[in-house]
Amino acid sequence: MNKSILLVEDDENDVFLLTKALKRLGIGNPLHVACDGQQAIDYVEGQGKFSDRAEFPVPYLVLLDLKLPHVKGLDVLKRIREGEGPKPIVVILSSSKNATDVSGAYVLGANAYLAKPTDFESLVKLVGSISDFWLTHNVVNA
Amino acid sequence: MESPSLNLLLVDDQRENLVALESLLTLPDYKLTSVTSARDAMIALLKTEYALIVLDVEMPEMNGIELARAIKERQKTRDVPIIFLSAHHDAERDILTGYGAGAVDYVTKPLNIAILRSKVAVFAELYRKNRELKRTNDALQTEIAERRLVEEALQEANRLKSERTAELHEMVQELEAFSYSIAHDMRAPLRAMQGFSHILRDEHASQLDAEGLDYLRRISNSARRLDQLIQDVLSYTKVLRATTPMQPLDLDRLARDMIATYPDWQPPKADVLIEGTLPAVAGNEAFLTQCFSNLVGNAVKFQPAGKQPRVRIRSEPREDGEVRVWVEDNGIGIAPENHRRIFGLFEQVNAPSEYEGTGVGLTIVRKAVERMGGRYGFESAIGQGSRFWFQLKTATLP
Repeated sequence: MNKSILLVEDDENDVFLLTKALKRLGIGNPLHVACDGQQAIDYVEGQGKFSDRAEFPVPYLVLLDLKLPHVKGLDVLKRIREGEGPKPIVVILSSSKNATDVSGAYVLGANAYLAKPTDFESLVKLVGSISDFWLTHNVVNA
Repeated sequence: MESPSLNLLLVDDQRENLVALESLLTLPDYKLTSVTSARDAMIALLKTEYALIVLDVEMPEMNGIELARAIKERQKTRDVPIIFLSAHHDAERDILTGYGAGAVDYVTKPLNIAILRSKVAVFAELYRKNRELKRTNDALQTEIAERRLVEEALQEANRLKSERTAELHEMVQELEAFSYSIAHDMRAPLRAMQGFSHILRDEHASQLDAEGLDYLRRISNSARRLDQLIQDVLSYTKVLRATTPMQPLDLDRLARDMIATYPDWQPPKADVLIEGTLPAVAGNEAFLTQCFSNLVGNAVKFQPAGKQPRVRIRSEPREDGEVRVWVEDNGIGIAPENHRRIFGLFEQVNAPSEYEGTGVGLTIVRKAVERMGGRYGFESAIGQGSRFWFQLKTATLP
């Protein structure tokens, strides 16, 4: 099974760089992008334009930014963990290491919390680590 | 202070009786006023405050008893004591005692000098005591009123102060939250600048000449510098905002762990050593990490080109259970004219082209030490290295 990734990110530069990093590492898992919190929730739950699961498969891994327009990242996480929909792995990717954000994320059931690095090389390394750990080695409770 | 003389009013219709009374009561303590009618007595009482009235009962027109009644009816004269000079009539005495004890007395005629003087003296003394008491009481009332005013002013000032403090506190918190958020948002475009210049260099270098590549390197370096600046400001605001409590900390272990982890502090890049064992101190781990990271970081950084940094960390016991921790280097030193500036925010005394930095490190050290209730300082001269120190209370590890 090809585990699909949902990237929840409103900054198109960050989307580009992350896509680039995946490409450079040769990680070919299907990648979809939601550019705000509501889209992310709709995607995970297969609502509205995301109801076609063939085109928009249930994500195995969600990479979630916290600072999002409309619905905030932590509210997306809360909905995913407490709602009726699928329960993918959620890894927070944020530029904030703010203690309130970090503890909030873990309380709401984030699987990991990672800080976005500034330079591209570190980003490539980080994406590689995420892929190794969460897509390859980690075993989920099915 | 000598007490002022007391006013005595003598009332008798017989001039010769008054003369006799005056001669009996002429004493330094008394100032005598003699009148021959009830009417003159009333006028005198309106003009002057008397300590005592000596009053003949038998007078034409208005007699002594009637005058006394009039005196007692007036608010202003009600409390002036009266000594009646009376004949031997029991009926008269009954009326006199009806005025109540204390304020009224009588002396029978013919006058007994000793008795009259002693009764006058008793009333005079009573009046004097009352006057003193009243004066003390007035002074006390004035003082109480003054104190109340001061207290009210103080309360108002305190109220204003706590109001201002709350406002300021809120403002500072808002500002800090604001700067924190700004600093985070500023890093997003930086990631783009760094990321894209990196990709440009990796994938499109062949389309650029040497000048173009140099520009690219400058963009990348500037972005990295700005990123460092933002990170330092974030660390600084973190030290400002942190509310973590103080606790006993193993300073020796903390410092040794740090020295072992920083790549730039390892031989052959640098020779960083702790002399002896650092004691446990009362502090905050995050703050102390900032102190060592910046002090040792500076010691390693500010070196002449090609010289291996030699850094020694040691402790020195001080008075009142405090310890001074020294971080000594063999670096370029600090010129005397720069000594006052170096702990200020964004202050850089060396050209940034020569020594990369943001001018925030020592400000973080200062704030961190201050927030731990400690002191800090340094000794340095050009070409002779620098010896920075911070001083904290020692503690016992649990």
